[in-house]
Amino acid sequence: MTREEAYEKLNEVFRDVFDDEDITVNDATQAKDVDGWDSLEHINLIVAIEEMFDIKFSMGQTTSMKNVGEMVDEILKKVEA
Amino acid sequence: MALTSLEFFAFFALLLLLYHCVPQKAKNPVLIVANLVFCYLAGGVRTLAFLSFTTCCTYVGALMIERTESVKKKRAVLIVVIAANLAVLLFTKYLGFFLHIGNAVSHLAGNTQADLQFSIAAPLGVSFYTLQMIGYLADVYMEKIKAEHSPVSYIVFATFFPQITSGPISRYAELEPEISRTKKFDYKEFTFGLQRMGWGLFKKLVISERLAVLVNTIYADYETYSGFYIAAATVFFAFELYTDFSGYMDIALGAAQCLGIKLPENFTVPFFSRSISEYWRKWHITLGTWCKDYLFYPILKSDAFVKLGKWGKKKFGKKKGKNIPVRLGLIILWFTVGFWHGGSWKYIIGSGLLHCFYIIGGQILEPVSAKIVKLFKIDVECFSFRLFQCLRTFFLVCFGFLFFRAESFKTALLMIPYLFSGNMQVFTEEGMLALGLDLMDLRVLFFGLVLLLLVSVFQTQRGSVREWIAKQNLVFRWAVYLSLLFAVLLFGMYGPGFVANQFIYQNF
Repeated sequence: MTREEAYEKLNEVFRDVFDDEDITVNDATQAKDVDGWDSLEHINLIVAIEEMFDIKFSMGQTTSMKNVGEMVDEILKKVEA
Repeated sequence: MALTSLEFFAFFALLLLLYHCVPQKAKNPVLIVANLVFCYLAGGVRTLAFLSFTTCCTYVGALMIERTESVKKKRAVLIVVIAANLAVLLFTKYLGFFLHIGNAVSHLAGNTQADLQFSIAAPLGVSFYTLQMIGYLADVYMEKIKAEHSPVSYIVFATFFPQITSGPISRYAELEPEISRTKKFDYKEFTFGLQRMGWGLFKKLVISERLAVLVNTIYADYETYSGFYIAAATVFFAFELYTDFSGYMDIALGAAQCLGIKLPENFTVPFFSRSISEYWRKWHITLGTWCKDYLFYPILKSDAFVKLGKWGKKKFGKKKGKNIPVRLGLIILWFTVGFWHGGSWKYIIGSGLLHCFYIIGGQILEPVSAKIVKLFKIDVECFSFRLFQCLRTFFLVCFGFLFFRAESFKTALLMIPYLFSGNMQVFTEEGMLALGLDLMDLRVLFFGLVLLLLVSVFQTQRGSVREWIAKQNLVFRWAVYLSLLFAVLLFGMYGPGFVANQFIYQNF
């Protein structure tokens, strides 16, 4: 899977979870940049991403990823593994 | 040995002298000895024994998790060590509560035998260091950190005396660099640490101790002091608890800073919060983040909850369905937070489930409030609206404190009708003077609270007060330092004939 393909799917998940069709995320996007991305929605987002890509984040990754770029790095690693 | 006692300050002065004089290699061993001496003086042999048990079994458990290849075995070690730590906590702190429930069930079943009773004093700080140790072990299991092999660094982390009785609940990843780095004497850090301890003492001895007199008087006789007395006492209690707990944190974090160790913050002006969620991000922060990372997220990521979410989405649609596991997780989370405060329904409701109700209620009512804001074209960022949100949050929190402070859950329920008796005596001078403080004490309290408000506003808008003071000229700086010192010495409630109340959270 290419990074672009990952972003395509990821944007779909973000739009679905945050109920906003205009969301487009990039490497630098953080929780503060997305309206409603708080600690409650974070876990919904993680579960939705796991479902979409058929992967599992560890608990450590769930709480330590600093931006969407790190999230995509992990997704690509897991998908390719 | 309380953190406000002369014994503590003698102990701390001796430690500072020794710690800053010995070579780098000896600093951590000195800290370990100081930690153990503090635990012994503050909590006796029992506290030392329980703390040693938790410290040792977590140390060994973490090394076993790291050395074992098999995932199943890692998990087994994690479960066994967590169970051992929780067993100590549950046995010493909650056995009475479980027996109480058992007795009630037994009575309902028609059993007329005498109640089973059990009472044991919990070791000092057991609720705090147990969570810290579980967090460390879970981090090793989740491979967020490596297990600490050096017993010296590990024991400093596990037994560090400023945080052992009431937190903050530290993470190893944050504290390890502080423990292992070379610590040279830093004048600025040292003096900032002392200043922070002074401010903590001011909060505890000048403000909190006075508020405690008013609160204790009213809560001990709520039938006489009804109406606005109860409302005022509950607001006073909010400030009593805040100045007590955050005052403790200032002393603890200040003491650690004097030793060149930075501990995590536990409060960031919580009473200025605009929502209950925001309040919990600013009040007892390390407990909130601990519960989120080690309880709430693992529950929500478990297979059972993921399946529940899928079922919910199928049954109720995407939007409503995804809320089912989250809200069930919130109920478990808040029950645990309340229960952690003590085995009593007054904590489970007042510091737990009531806040869960507020948060879920807020989520459900969100579309309604959004419509109201749109309809009346309310500027949500204007001062008056923000003030309204802060006051609304504060009074909701205060309602929880009514349960928290009352003798029991039942007493809190009995107090509620008395709230509406219409008694307004508390607003008169005589009414206030009947509560155990004289006019001088009430004035000192008033000016203490005004100073607290000013400092809080400054912290919110401009940042560190100590940094600002440090930039002022010598005369002004020392005038502030000496004023704080003399305010504590002259107006603090301490000394022979007066026993300062224990820090409230020390009992948890």
